[in-house]
Amino acid sequence: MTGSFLAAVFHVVLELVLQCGAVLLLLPVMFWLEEDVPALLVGRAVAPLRERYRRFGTFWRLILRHGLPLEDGLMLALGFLAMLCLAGLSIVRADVGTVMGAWLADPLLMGGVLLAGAFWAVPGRFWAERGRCCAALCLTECFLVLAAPGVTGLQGVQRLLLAAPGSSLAGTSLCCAVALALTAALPDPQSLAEDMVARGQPASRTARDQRQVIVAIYQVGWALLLGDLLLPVLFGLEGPAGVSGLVVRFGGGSLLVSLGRLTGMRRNGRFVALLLGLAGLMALAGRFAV
Amino acid sequence: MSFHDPFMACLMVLLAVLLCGERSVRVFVSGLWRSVPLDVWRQGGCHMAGMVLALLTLAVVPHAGAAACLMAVSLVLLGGGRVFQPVWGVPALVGYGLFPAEAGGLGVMAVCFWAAGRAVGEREAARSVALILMLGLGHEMAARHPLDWMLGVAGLVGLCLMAGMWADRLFLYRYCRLVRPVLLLGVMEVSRQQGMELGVEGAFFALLLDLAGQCLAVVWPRASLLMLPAPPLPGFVVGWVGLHASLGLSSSTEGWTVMGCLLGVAIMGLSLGDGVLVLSQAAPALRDGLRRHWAWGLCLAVILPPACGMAADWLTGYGAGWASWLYRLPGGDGSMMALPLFWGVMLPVWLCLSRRRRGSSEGGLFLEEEGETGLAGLQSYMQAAPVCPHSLKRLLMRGKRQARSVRLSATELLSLLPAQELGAVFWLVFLGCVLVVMGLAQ
Repeated sequence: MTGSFLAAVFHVVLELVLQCGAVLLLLPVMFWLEEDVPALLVGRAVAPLRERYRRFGTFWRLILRHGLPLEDGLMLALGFLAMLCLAGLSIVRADVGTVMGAWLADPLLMGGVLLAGAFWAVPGRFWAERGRCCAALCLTECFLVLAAPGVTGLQGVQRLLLAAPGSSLAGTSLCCAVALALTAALPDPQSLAEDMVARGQPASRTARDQRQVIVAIYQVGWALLLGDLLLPVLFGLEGPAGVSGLVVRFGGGSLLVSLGRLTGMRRNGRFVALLLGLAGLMALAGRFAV
Repeated sequence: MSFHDPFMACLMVLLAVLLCGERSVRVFVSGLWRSVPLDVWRQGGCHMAGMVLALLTLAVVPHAGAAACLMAVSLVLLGGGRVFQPVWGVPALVGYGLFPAEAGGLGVMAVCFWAAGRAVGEREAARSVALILMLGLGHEMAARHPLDWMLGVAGLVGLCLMAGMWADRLFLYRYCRLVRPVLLLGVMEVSRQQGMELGVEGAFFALLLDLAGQCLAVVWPRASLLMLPAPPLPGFVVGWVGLHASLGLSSSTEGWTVMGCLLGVAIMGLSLGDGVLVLSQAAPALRDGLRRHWAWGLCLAVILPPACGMAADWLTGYGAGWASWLYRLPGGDGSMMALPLFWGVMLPVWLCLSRRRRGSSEGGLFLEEEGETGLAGLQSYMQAAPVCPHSLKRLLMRGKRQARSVRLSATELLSLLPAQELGAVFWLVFLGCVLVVMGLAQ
């Protein structure tokens, strides 16, 4: 009895450690994909990938040696946990991944965590944008539940899609992902720098670098949320396939974000409204077709 | 045991908490053996008498006439004579005394809304008391005609907006926290009529959490930050559970499919509007909070949702036992949110990441930076030389040339099309994509 209990605890801890390790290993690649690859494609020269790994290693070494200020620590904890929940990995033990995927990886909850943390990191003048983003998140949650009553989190969406492929749920979440990508209000490093200059805090260089990494984690998490909504089928695959699913989902999400940035559609409120309306129509159609 | 009496008991407990904790009442009690300014002492006495009368009102709810009279007196006492001014208040209360379960509930609602909307600044307690009285007295009507109850509140808010539109910028947001509990009560009663036990439990949990948060905010003004709709805080839980309770209504009830969605979005939107008000009022407290206050706030934020959930579970008597509230919070439609687990993981991670020794704050880092000599100290900030591989550049150039030729031929092809405007073509392509996706969805 005690032995089995200890084994279960060991498995859960091992699972969490493995998930954290996988996410930590993938994060520099994600930063690279999110910031450097678009610059590379435009034709600018960027630092190689190992540079990202080295700086990320420095970041964690400094944190482990000296610690962060209280606020920054809370921001980093929130962002990292949101990343972990949205990653949807389950490597050794499936039920841990199920708990995190079904009970925590809720689009509204995780999107809210990301928005609130980013708003706290860079308090700016983006009230209207953030309000619009929150409204889009609420509608996303509504439409997902409307299309599939009783669905719980992204894991539930994935299970339903596997059970009934090609249902209207996929179209609904796709439209919502595109709409969210076009309303995205997360601050980019540029606005973080402007905010720091405006406030004129006497922050040390280390503190500024750490804040930049935290904001980058929020951005990566947002891209991952979009990817989860774009390709919910790949969420929560078991075993090492989950890692490749994570990479594919993140690629899709960052593609959406960069497309929104390139085409300048972010200002186009009507297009967002149209997409959300379309998502609602598809959800209603799927609901009444059953 | 019927459900109505425990609901009243809950409201009375919340009123008692208000009575014990409110500042002016505390001033009044301490004035019994210490000297305080006379007008402050008198105001505290009025508040205390008003709250006691409100408690009595909830106790005599079955006798509608007496309840209406007591409520009028208590509102007059709480508002210092200025709250209960309008002439139409008297016929509204008389109407309540005559038809407590029919349209009379709307009269009580109007009076309480008026009183609560006037309660600004020092009179925050009056607003909570008016809200609790409105829920307690109107519960009978809400139980019989929930739809009328919700439509009535929508109409009343519209009237209030038209009457006091230009008072100030925050006027709109001040009504958010009054309307949200009323809508939650409506959702609860509709769920009960449709026989959905999960929905009743979820909506009641959200209602209880909402009222408890507002009462706490009156007792300890810093606690109003807990009602921010930012995720790990209880304010978000209220919005999320309310949203899911009304979505559950929409997903398992005939005729409520669209209405439930709209109701859920309305509840979440009210939470967001309330968040704007809270941020604008309590932002200074956020900035210069002491460490002790932070700790108390965090404890409240962790404990409040499970405690309210257990109370709701115990009162409705439907749920699956109290232990499950320690690791998950159910929404009203079968979805779960493992927020206590999230807190339980987040707090240790936060403690690990935060700075352990207070002594080595900013200065320590600076010293270390300067201690290393010259370029070696800056080594960790240096970037490697940026590179752009030649092969990639060549590939990009070839791609660009290819794209240009494709675009030329595409414009030639497009000039043959009947639709010349680019916008029209875009919409056609978009429509085609939509049809493809819809076709896939079949």
